Amino acid sequence: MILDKDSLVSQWDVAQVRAEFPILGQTVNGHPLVYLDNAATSQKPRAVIERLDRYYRTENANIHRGVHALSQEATAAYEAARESVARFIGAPEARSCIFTRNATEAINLVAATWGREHIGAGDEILVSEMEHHANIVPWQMLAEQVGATVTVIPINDRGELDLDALPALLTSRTKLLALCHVSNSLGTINPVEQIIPLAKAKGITVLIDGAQSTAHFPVNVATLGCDFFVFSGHKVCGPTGIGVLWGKPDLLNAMPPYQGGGDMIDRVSFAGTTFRQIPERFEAGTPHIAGAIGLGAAAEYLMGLDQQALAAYEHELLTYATEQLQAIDGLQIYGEAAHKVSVISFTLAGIHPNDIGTMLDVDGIAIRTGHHCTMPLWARFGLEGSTRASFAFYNTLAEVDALTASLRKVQKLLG
Amino acid sequence: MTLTEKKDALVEDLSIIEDPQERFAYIIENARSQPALTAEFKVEAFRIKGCQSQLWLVPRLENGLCYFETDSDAVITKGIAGLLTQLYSGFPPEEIIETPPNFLAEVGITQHLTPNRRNGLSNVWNTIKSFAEHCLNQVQRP
Repeated sequence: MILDKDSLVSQWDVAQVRAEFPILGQTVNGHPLVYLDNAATSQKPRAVIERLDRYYRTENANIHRGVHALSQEATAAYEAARESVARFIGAPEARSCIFTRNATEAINLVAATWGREHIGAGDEILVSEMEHHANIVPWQMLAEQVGATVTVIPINDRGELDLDALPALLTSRTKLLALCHVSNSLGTINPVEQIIPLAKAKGITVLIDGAQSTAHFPVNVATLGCDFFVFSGHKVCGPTGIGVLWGKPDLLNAMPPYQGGGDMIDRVSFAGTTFRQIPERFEAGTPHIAGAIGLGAAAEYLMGLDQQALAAYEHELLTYATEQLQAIDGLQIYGEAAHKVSVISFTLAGIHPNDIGTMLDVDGIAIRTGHHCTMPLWARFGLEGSTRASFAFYNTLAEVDALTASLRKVQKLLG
Repeated sequence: MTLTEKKDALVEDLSIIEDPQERFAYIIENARSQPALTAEFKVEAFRIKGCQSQLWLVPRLENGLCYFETDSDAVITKGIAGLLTQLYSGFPPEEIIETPPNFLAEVGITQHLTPNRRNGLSNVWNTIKSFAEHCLNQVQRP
């Protein structure tokens, strides 16, 4: 049976979904919390909170080298989480999923290991104008160390990549394309399925920053054909302090270690040390065991949701919010890509985003203001930053109304 | 009026306003009542770091008393910084140094501010205090 959009939306029981997120029931400054800062971090469902609680109450032990029961239980849970994460991003092998602190650390890991070995003087690292600082600064630091250059794919006024400019930027000196799957500031979904083959055809290694895409739609790294894929746990309903670097296994095993220490070694002597293969190779020291297990629970929770209904519902939220916001005089939306997730950046004529954020908070509405770690992007639009409302599958149309009503109040007071 | 008396009067004014929305309306009104700084003062040397918005603070010493003016591209930031600059203007440096602005939390001014802005705000006080200390050293120098 083929379902149309409306029947898919009606299949999404948002009240039932919200009931799984305890934090959403609270009041802030005397108003029901309206949480529209999901691109910064997502809220956590019971399944994750309770999994973390259970781990600390009944399973806590250090992993991998203990012979006792608890250690074995914790190890099994940690490695099961890796399996869940692998399924979450379509990774054929769980061992190729490395637990990191976050997407930022995953990118820095690649820059410091693969980058130091494969990028040299005169080489080019290609990023886009819409990248998060986490996918710019590590490459700038590397480029400075080795004498390489960071080159940039421009974007158009709608906030889409200028694909016409791309072929000329994939030069014989380009060693890496590091690109966000979805823009955190604009919501733009980049056509990575189309771009990755162009880069691979020229032998260019590709890293995709999936920090924003994984929260909105299923990802399959095997189908994408990239070499590295990174994301953060806390943006996909998981705990903070845990993220993932996925890489092609051969590529990862050929990379020098990032940090040295326990668990990542094969044999240590003062004459020299040999290192283990992935994933341990890149997980020196006691990892964030609880975080990984929590992320595994988050991945299972998200995979258990009806993806089609979720996508239709988020699209409905985006469409409705866009219409309602556009109806406000002097409000301008930045990021009007044909394909985008439920993220809306905007400015309100004559009112500083900071003032908007402060006044919305008085009404219990959480949004984000500022440059959203994409300063070059805002410079492109001649701005210092924006106000950003980012919606998740647990937000409601009534919350969109609360946002627009509060914005009209702000406009009256400050406009 | 001593600085402490002026501070107590401000606390009383702000305490009467219970509704956060009205408290911000008061701050916005305060911002609008302050003159804008001219372009020559909106420069890096006078910029307060740690704010998401741009905030400038210009101090001066006249006849042994400190005066401060402030401006920002965000109205609420200017209004809150203005509460401090208006409070401390017209007092001798030693009195300023002895009277930190911890009253802001008491009257619910900081509770709605982002840590980022609170940093900025504590930098406003640090700047006022540093200037007062500098003035005091100048005066005490033989």
